[in-house]
Amino acid sequence: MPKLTDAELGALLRETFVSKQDLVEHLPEATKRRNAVLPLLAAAAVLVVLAGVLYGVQSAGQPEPAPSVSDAAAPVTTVDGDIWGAAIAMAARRFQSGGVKWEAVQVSEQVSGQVSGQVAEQSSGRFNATPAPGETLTALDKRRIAQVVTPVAPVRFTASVSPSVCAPGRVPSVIVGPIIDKGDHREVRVTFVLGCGVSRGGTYLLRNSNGSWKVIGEPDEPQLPATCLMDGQTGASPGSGC
Amino acid sequence: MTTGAVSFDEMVRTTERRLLRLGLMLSGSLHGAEDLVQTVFARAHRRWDRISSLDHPEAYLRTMVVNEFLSWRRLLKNHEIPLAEPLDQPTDDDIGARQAQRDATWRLLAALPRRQRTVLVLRYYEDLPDDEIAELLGIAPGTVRSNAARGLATLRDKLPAEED
Repeated sequence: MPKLTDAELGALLRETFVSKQDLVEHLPEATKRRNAVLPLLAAAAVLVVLAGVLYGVQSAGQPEPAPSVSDAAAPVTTVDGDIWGAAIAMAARRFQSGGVKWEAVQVSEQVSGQVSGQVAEQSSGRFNATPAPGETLTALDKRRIAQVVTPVAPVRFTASVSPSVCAPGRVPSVIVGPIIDKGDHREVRVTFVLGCGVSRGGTYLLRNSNGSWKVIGEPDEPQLPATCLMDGQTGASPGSGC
Repeated sequence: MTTGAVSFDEMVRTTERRLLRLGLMLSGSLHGAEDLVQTVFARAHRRWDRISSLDHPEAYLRTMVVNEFLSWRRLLKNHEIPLAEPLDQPTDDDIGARQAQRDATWRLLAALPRRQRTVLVLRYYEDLPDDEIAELLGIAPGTVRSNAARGLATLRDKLPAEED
């Protein structure tokens, strides 16, 4: 049996190497041109999911908002202050007669229990009122009231108002009642207190017009006595009738 | 990583397959070839600023693969127990005698001392002249020839003769 020569062995080696080199083609490419868009999209998707999870966790940790007495669909907390403000501003203008300007209007933070004569209807569930009598104004309500009333007079807030106390100067106090939802309009009772037992209370009707609340009906109440509006009236020396 | 000459990524893309084939001939297995080339690329990446400034960085990478193989085989001998490659016994039933000889040659190559195999691969696969092989391996051309002769002699003795 003849042995292979060096040349024959060389040829055999070349054939052998060539026959095996195609095995490399079965390997997956170790490096590929990478498209930066896909990793970025994947990263963005991960961030969106994480943000959603975090938001869900935070929401789950917060207490449910207290159910409102009024229609749940109505954005009550965002408009109550506007309604009260419009009614207070109207009352302040109405009783600001004779060119006498109020130094300020003092608004009670506590919502009155008087519901403009609708107590019976309210209790029967026919109308919705917000907030419940005795509740206090929210910070948002105060801001909205101040925004609406400030053009008439600066607004101060006080914990309580006593109609019998004679407040010094031209600073009337105002007590607002719950807002009654009457469907196409709202009603709210506003008690305007000058002090020393002098006060005027009535129901104001308001309707939303182009995003702002306008008074469409006001109580038929007598004007305050002129002496009550005189400069220098104090609780120690109230004018006649004040 | 980008240099003034050629980026590392570009060099990997253009030389990877060729180096894998060389690694396959040296190591005798695909996985061995992958290990070799990946190791070389990892080392080259750390020194790419210097390698990329060479006239022929691809030739340098080839030298790295060869040296890695020689070193790697030494490490295997000292510290690792290589699993035996499954031997495909050549048969003449379904394939020709030449194919049987190629399979036998491949198997015998794996049994050769690493330097002999390297010399045969560089001479008959890379088609390098002996003086270039000597330069690449850092040995004398006469040593290249003696290694090649011993490797060929082993193959000649153990290969079944071609049937007439």
